[in-house]
Amino acid sequence: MEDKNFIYNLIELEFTGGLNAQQKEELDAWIEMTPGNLSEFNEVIKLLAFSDRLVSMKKIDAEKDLLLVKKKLNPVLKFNTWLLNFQRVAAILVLPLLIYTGLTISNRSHNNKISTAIKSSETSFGVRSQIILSDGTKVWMNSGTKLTYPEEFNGNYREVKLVGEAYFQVESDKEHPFFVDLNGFKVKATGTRFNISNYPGDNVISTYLEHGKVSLFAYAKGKQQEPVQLKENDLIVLNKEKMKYNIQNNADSKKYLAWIEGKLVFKNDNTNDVAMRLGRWFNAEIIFDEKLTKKEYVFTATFTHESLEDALRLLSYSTPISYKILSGSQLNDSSFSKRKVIITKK
Amino acid sequence: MEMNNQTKELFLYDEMKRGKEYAFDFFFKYYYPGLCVYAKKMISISEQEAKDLVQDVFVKFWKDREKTDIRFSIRSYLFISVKNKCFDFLRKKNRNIKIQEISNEHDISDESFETYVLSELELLFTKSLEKLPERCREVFELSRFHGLKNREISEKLNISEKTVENQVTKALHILKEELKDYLPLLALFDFFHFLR
Repeated sequence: MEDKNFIYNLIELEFTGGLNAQQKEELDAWIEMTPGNLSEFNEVIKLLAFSDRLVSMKKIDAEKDLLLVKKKLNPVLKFNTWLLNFQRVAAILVLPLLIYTGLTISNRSHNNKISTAIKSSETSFGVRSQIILSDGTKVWMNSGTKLTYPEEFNGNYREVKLVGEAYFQVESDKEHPFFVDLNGFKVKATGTRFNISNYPGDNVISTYLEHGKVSLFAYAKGKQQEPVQLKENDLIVLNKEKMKYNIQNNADSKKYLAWIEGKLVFKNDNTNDVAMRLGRWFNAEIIFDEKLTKKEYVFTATFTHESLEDALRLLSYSTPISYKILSGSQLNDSSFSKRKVIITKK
Repeated sequence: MEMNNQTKELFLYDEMKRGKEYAFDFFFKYYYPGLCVYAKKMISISEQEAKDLVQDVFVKFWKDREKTDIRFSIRSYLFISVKNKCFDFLRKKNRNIKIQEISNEHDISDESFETYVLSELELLFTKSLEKLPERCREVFELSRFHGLKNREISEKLNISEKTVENQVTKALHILKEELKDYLPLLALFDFFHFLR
């Protein structure tokens, strides 16, 4: 014991860095005596390091620094009291997952919070992406789309703003209806799956309802018009200028939802439609020759991984067209302009 | 760490991705102290520098939550992020060090971070300390956790310095056996600052 004391004392000194030359020699001699001594030395050092680490970690005030981080994240907002948060976390660690999930669902409340920041998400042309909103609603965004939404939904309803095309899977919550603002028009949904196309260049808005309930509201001169209720598999195409709409029952879901799976589907579509959608898909400007647009040609095709060139070649096999691709030129800001495609009759 | 906890963490991570702050708070409070000590030890920086660095990692962790997808381990992700952030810090300081970046979560096992989680290390110690006789434990805690010198302990407890030494040695000996399974988890830089 006497000897152990002496050695352990030396190891402690070695650990704190207070070993003098003579003591160092004595310690080294002991370590080299047997391999067992070396591993004992290592273990004691590590043990000391462990206890040191515990002390250093205890000194750090995570609660205080969490506030600092929140300030960095959002200088304006006040965040929830942490007592509440702590209780929720404590619950998750103690109770089984299932019980916890049940609890949060029944406690869900959007009313008693301060308003949160507005965020937006954009996809450039030729790119598709998916985001999940704070209420769990999933949104797939097609190319050239902008979605504006609050970081956290609160108040009596949920609302997002859409320019472009998106497919929504709205998290069901009857007490907080979900609205999609389409600049003058609104789509209201509760727990549904639907697709909306609202590109600025189009004079129509089209909404396809896959499942659930959706109604479309129009606001003319600031006044709300009679809403239009959709049934499942209905496609409503609304002309923004003429304020007229057309409902197609039992519309083909494949045609309107295929883009989510990365497919571009044409089914008896006219040249106008093909030009618009092909253009958006490949980020190109598609121009049909007058000879084609005058006559009512329709196209049917499905594209998945094809490049623009491949797609056009396939189209030219099945229809009497030929095409020419003009590559984009470099602009002042060193980006490239869109490629142009001229489609003519064969 | 049990599998169960990892599943819970992935669940909380999912919650965080949905914008739930309480989940972020949990990760912060759970990992922050350990990450700070880890950064401080690894590249020998001040505590404040370490804190700033770890806070930056958490800011990014929240901001990029929609872009990032962690499927395996939140723990590894956070520790490796801090590690890479440390290397960035060194590079900015323009030191001529060759640094090998760790790019993903696979090359470090989750276990090696276990002893860097305050509550988990505390639990390990509490269990082991229970195995010590009362006086022995008291002496050890004063010595290691409160940083008292042997002479100060002997005065405080009114025992001889020799007894203090005996008790510390005894405590180290017992704890060494108790924590044997965890000692190999300590990496070299944990006690030798390799960039001093």
